[in-house]
Amino acid sequence: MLTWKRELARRLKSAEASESLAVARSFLSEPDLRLVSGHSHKVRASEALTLWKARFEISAAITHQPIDGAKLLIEKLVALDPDAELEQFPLTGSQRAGSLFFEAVDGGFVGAVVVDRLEAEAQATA
Amino acid sequence: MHRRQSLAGADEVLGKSVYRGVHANHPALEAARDGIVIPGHVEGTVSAEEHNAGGASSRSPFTSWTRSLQIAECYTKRTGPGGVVLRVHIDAPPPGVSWSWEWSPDIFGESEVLLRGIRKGVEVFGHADLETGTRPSIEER
Repeated sequence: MLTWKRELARRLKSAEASESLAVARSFLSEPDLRLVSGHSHKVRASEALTLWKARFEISAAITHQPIDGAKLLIEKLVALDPDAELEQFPLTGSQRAGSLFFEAVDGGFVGAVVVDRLEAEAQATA
Repeated sequence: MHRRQSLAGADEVLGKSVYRGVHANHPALEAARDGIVIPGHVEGTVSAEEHNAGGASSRSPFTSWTRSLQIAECYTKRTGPGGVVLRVHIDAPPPGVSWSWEWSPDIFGESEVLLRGIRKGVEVFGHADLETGTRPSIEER
C-alpha cells in the first residue's frame, strides 16, 4: 500500500463513526486513487468553509452534480475555529475525485468531499 | 490521469465570454475593481488539477473562470455584498503577454477554465450590491 494511503487509512481508523467517515472510507477504497500533485496541503478552516459552502450551493442550485459529504463538511467547518489549520488531501481516480480533510494540529478527521467523475462527464456532454 | 495542456476544445470557446466571481473579502478585490486579475502566486508551481481541487489558490499561478455567469455570481456573493464579477472573451494571447488559458479538469462541473498569470484590462461586468452605485449590479442585468 502506498505511504499516503496507509497514513490516511490509519487516521480514519481512529476517527469516530459517522456518515462523513463512511464517505471517506468508501472513497479511499477506490482501486486507482492517486494523490493529486503527490502531496497534501494546508488550508485555513475559514477559507475551506467559504469555498465548500459556495461549491455546495452551486451544486444544489445550478450544476445539480452531487458532492458527497459537502454538507457534513460544512457543518463541521462551521464549528471549528476559523483560524484552525487543516490538512487537505486532494485525491483523484478514474471513477471518483475529491478531498479528505484533517485537523493539522492532531490529524483528527474533519470531513470528505467526493464527486463521481463519470456522472460529471455525462452531465457535461448532455 | 494527470493532464496539463492548453485549453481543451479551444475552438468551441474562442470568442465566447468567461466570468470570474471575486468575493468581498478576496485579497485581490481592489485590483479586480480596476480590471486587473492577479493570481495568488504568479510564480507558484500548483498544477491545474491541484488548483481545481481547491484550497491551493494562495499558492497558485492560476485564477478560476467559468463559462457560466450564474456560477460566477455565486462565487461573488460567497462572503456577502461587495464583490465583483469580471468578464473577458476567450482569445489566443497576443504575442508578448504573460498570461495564457489553461485546461481545467473541472471535476465539480462548474464549466471552469483557468487563466495563468496576471492580466490587465479586464471588464468589470457587475457587482453583487448597490453600495458603490457606479456600476450596474448583477441583479439589474
